[in-house]
Amino acid sequence: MSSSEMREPTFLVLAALADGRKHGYAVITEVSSLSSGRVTLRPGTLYAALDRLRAEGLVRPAGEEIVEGRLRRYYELTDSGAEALATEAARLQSNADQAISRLRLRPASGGGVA
Amino acid sequence: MNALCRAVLKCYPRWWRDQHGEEALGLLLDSADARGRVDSRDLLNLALHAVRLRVTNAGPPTLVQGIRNRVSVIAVSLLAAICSTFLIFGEWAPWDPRSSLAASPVGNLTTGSICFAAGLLAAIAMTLGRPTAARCLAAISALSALAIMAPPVEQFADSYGFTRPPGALLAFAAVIGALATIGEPLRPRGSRGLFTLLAAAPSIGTVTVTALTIQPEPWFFYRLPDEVALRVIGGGLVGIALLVVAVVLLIGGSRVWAAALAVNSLPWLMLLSFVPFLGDTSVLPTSGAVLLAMVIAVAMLAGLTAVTLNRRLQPVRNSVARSE
Repeated sequence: MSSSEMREPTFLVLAALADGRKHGYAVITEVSSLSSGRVTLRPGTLYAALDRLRAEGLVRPAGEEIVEGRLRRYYELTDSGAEALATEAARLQSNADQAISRLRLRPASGGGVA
Repeated sequence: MNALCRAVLKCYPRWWRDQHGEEALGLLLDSADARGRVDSRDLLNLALHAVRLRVTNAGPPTLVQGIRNRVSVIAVSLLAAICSTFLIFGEWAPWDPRSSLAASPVGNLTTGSICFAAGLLAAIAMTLGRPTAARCLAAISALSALAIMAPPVEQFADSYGFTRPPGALLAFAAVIGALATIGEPLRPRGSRGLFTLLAAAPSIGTVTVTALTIQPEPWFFYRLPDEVALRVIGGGLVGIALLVVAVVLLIGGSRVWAAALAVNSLPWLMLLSFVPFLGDTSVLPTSGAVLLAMVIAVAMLAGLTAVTLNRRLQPVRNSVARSE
């Protein structure tokens, strides 16, 4: 995972779990919040991602509880998950920094008048 | 609301429901509380995810999944036999420059070559250990066989001078192609590979021998209506052979392969139901009886192999079980 590019929903799921354990619905709302409403995770997509991340050892279950008769299972990042998230965040930040520095060098538009 | 969510979750395989069912229900109800209603897109997304899990090999292996995969392996082998035969004797046929159908711009090619080429490529992909590609190609073969028969496609192809093989033949190829897509055609290993070859051998043998008996009329596939009975009976023999192999494998203890073979024999055996409608059945040549004896012999050989392997492996299995 660390050597290849991470898809945005996966990145956002890991980012949602970065500050502590969360249950499924909390992950969905957190992903929406992190992406400013741009990414809406659906339940099937969430569980597909969680199952895959569990299989890759990046996420693990962290307890469950019954709230108003509903089961809530919590998930948290593993150390490998935190490392993969940090690597991906650094990669994205490096790309963003590069893009911003290039934009600063761009000649001003509007007939070449600075 | 609760009932609707539970109904959608029932689309999932049991293992997934055991793992995530109650949790997913809680998530849906939490989401519904926040929005004031259940979001239909959430339900659709879950249903699609459930379908995806069912058609792939996700989760722990189950008996049904194992049978589906083996049905697929055998069907791909049979599809290869059908497709290669029709590609060689029906589409290519370099020894017979005559076209039995409307003149084709490219040799003897018809639109059926798309379906047959895809079926053959599916078998190659399976042999190369690419089950997903094999499954997709088998699906393309089945769908293209159906599409070729659609009047708009037929008219479009006809405008370029291409005709199509008979519909019954395409429909049969589509059924075998559909069987090939119901599981993951994983390349069998070891003794299981032997069983697969033995399963494919009767069909390849029947089609080849039947084709040779038709000389000097290699175009019989597409042209001669008086040979239809022979084709149907030849196909029926394949079905009988597959069923015999299945019974013998069952006796030998290979339940999963036996079930997969029995499923694959069904389309072939169905061909026999057309025999009464063909009128003259005297076209069944003596070679048919010889062929039947051959395929039964092959089936018996397969069964004996299965029984022998089973007996040889039993002490090993027992010692492993004791050590565990």
